[in-house]
Amino acid sequence: MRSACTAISVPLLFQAVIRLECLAARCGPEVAAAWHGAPLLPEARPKQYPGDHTRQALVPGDVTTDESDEGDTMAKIRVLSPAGELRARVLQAPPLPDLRGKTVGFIDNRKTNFDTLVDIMGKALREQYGVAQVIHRQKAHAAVGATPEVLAEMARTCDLVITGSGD
Amino acid sequence: MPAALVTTTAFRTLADNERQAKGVPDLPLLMIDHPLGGEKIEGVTARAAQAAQALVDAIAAPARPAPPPRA
Repeated sequence: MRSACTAISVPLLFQAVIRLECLAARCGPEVAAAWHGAPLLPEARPKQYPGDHTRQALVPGDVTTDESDEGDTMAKIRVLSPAGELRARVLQAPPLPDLRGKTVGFIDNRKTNFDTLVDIMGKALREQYGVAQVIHRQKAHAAVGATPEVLAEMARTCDLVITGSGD
Repeated sequence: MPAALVTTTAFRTLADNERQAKGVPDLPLLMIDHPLGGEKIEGVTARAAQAAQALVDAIAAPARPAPPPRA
């Protein structure tokens, strides 16, 4: 039971991290706000910044204009944190005493170079730290979790599972 | 099952927030230099060594107190 709980939590964490990477690091706060269900009011219109004809607010309902200072018009956008709410602490497995003779599983996020990292790191773990076996499985792509089959295999065969996040 | 997460330095804060949000604040992070993508083999090799050492360090770290039982 303890193993199953932790094995499920890791891919869930990974999925959330990937989503937030895409939103916060690439798409910007407007898209992050939209992802969180910010209301899109039909009567509101996107505002453009003064002198800037390339940027538009993507969440019309969250845009207001402050014209309190004469001649100074500034758009305001309400930005929501993508961090989400805290969840209750879940049970975590005790740490491994060492790596000797253990089977280490990697869930590859398919980001560029992660497969190479796994190959090199797996070789080092075997040759330098006594790991008995390395299992390398890939997800379909970075934006989805590992399949139930991969999770079941990891839970059945591995002593430790390592996954990845980031570029 | 013991688990760990490889992440790059640029995503440290995000990883910390997600560990907290998912209820696994002690999930070991194997930090490597950012970026990983786009690096040549020498750079990937250096990051693999970082991750392996971080894993060994995490295993060698003193055990934390057991978390309270779930309600």
